[in-house]
Amino acid sequence: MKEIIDWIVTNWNMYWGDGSFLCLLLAAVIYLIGWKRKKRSVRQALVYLLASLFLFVCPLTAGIIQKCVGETVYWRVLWILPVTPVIALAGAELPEEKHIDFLHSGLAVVFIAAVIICANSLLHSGNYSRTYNYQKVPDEVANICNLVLENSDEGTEVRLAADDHIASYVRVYDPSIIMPYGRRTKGSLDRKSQSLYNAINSASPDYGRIAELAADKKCSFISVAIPEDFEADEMESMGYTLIGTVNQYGVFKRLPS
Amino acid sequence: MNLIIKGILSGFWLIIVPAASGIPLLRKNPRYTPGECFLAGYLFLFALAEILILPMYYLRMPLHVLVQLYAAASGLAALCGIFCLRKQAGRLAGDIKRSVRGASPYFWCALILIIMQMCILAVYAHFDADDAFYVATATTAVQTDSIFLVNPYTGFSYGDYVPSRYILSPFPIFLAVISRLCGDLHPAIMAHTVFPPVFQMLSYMILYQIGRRWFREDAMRRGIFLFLAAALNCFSAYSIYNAGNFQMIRIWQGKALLAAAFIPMLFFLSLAVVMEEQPEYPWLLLFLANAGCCLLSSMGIILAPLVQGIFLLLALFRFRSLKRFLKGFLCCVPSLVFGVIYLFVLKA
Repeated sequence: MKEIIDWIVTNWNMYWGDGSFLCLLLAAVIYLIGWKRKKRSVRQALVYLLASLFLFVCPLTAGIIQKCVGETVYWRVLWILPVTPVIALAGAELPEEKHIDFLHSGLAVVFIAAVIICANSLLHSGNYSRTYNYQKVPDEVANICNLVLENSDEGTEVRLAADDHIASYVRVYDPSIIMPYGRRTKGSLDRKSQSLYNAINSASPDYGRIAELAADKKCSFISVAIPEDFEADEMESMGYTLIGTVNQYGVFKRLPS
Repeated sequence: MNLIIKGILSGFWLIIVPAASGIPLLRKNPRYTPGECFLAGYLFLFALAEILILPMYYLRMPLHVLVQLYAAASGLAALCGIFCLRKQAGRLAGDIKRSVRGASPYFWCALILIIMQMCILAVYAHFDADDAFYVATATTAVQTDSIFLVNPYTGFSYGDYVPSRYILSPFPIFLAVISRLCGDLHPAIMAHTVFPPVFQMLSYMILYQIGRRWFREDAMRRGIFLFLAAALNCFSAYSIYNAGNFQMIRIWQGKALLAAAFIPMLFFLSLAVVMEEQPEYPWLLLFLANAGCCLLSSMGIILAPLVQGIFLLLALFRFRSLKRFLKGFLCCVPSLVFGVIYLFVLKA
């Protein structure tokens, strides 16, 4: 029981982050209960909100739902809370009838300022960036894929080993490129593929080992982060030659033996 | 085919066809609006996609057959809608004019904010590593002309392995189908540039319908409601788990669309159908919404009956009508069936 309650609390805290929206929701609920509870729409919204909250926090229902959805994503149950509609409902109910006239009460300025603040908040949230490829994958991924495809031999399978950051987007950009493993080793062919993944994602990569494992997995290309003073001897001894660099990544091609 | 033609095709398959195919579902409602048609159309199309994709996966059919079937079925529904529209076109045009004239300044502010969000989503990029499965499944399906037969992470065949968590919620295959229909537009472009503004519009249309319900006679408050909802979403980066954040950064993924649009849609439909003495929409819409949730994400299979179940219990308490409860229960059948299959067959 204590375990489930701890898990509920952890998920609750994860979901609300800094808690600002939880405070806003609480204020909205208090206002609606205090001043607008006679409205049918308010009653319906609040009763549903409370019922869905009960489902989330009650250890019995939480335990059953957790069994179905899995422990790691239990926080997604909070998606059923109508947080935005309830806060917006309270906000829309708040102004008195006499104050609601947009132009006469000077609200035009307030709302236009709000639009600007919202736009600013969105653009500076750190969630968005510009890319120079239509597929909107990180540009270095697109550049690595292009380099690989330009250097591939016609009619032969292109198999690329790359670190987790690159591997996550390669097949989003171009599914003709085959990989020995996917994001976080998902879809790995076998243990050696997983060893290759570990070697290529290592903080201090052993390039000889990477090349050896990649050759074993018949990778025609390797993309791996290399230092500025990188010496390609170890890779070359395994048949891989540097064909170009993209940011910190070196792209190697296996030459026919 | 150049990008402009693909853009026009995208508008056709993602806006015209949904809006038209929703009309037959609402034809008994004498005062339906274009917005309601658009939403009903998406409910129909998502349910249709779920119904078509699952048997075609089990029959190991190629993607192009699915594309043809989807195009035929949705095209037929759209034609039916246009046929139904004949008698209502004049009335709808009049309603639109009246709505535009009667809209409050708050509504226009909200619209500016929403269009701005749509532009940001269309122009800028957000990198999400979950695309390694969701979008790559679509790119792989298009490239190999198959449905869930090739592992999107690697490009090798799944063999006997069944991706149990995903096959009941094949939204990436829907992405592949739409990409093929839009002149083979790259699924990543479809997901990252076309889907976000369309689905953003979809989710705000649902919020607008909620506002319309709550403030039926008060255009000013309706406008404030929509504006606040749009503004709140701009500040949803308070955590990476909340529905607003999913809506603002990765709405092209099924689970994000579930959180941003389909759960609010179930909330709205439950208010309008289950909680009303005289349901404002046919119960069928609730059924389709439930099936649509199943298409989007395996979470939808669990969350949809939770939302509907709460409302059904509230309605049972309020109306004391077993018939209403049973009707509502039947609307949960898709998620109950898929839930049982998932928990006791695939997971086992």
